[in-house]
Amino acid sequence: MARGELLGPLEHIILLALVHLDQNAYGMTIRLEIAERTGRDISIGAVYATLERLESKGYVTSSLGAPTAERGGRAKRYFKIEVPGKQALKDAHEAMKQMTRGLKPGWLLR
Amino acid sequence: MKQRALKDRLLSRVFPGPRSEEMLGDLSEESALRFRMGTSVRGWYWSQVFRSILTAAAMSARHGRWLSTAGIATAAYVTAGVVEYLAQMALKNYVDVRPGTVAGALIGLAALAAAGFAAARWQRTASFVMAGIAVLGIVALISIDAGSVPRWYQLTFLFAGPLSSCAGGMLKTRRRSAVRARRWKFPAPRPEMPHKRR
Repeated sequence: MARGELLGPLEHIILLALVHLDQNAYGMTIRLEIAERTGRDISIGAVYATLERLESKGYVTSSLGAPTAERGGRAKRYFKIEVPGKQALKDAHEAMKQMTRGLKPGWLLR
Repeated sequence: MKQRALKDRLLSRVFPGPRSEEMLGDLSEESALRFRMGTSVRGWYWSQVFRSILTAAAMSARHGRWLSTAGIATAAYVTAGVVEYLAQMALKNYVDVRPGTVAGALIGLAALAAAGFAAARWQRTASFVMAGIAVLGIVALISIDAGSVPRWYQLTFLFAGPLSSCAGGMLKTRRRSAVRARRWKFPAPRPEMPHKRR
C-alpha cells in the first residue's frame, strides 16, 4: 500500500462528492451533495478552502464555466478529481480497511 | 439590497481574488433555489458568510498569517474585557471594584496580562498586537468618556495596560523556551514499536 499523506476528513468527503457528481461538481452542488448524504451543513468557505488545498496537492483540477443570470452573472468553477486524487482515496479506504480488520463484531458499541 | 452588498463585500475581503466571485455565485444560485423551495434565505446567507469568515480565520491561524494574529489579539482583548467584568461582578460584595478604584485597576490589568498569556499560547506575536489594540481602545475610551474615571486611572491603563498584555505574552514565551530547553537537555525516550522489533 502506498504511504502518501493521509486525507483529512473534509478532504475525503469532498473527493467522494466529486466522484459522485462527476461532470457537475462545483461549489453549490458539492455542498448540497455532502448535506444530502451526510446531513452536515458545511459552509461554502470551507468547501472552497478544502478544494483549494486539494488543487494545490494535485488531487483535483478546476475549469471555469459560463456565467449565468441566476448566479448574478458570475461563472461556475467546475472541479474534477484527478488520478493522484483517486489514488489518495484508494489509499485512505485501504487504510480504513486495514485498521478495522480483525475487530470484533459490535466494536463500535462498546 | 444594501445589506446583500455588505455580505458580499465581507466575503470578498476575506477571500480575495476570483474565488470569492465564484463563491458568491454559488451562494446566489443556492439562494434562488432556497427561495423557490420556500426556505429561509436571509439567515442562511448570513450564516454562510460568517461561517466562511470563521473558516478563513481558522485556516489563517493554522498557517500563521497576519489575519490570525489580528483575530487572536482581538479575541483576547474582548475576552479580557469579559473576564474583568465577571471578576468585578464576583467581587463587588467584598471590595470596591468599580472603575476608578485601585482594586478595579488591578483586576483590569490582571485580566489583560492573562489574556496576553493566552494569546501568546496561540501565536507568539498576538500579545503584542493585543497591546496595540489595548492602546487604541483606551485612547478611544478616554476621548469618548474622559470624565467618568480619574486621570490616574486612565493613565495607568494607557501605559500599564499594554505592558501587562506584553508581560503576559512574554511570560508564556519564556515558559515555552524553558520547556524546550528542558526537552533539549533530557530528550524523552522514543517508545519502541512492538511490531517493528526484530
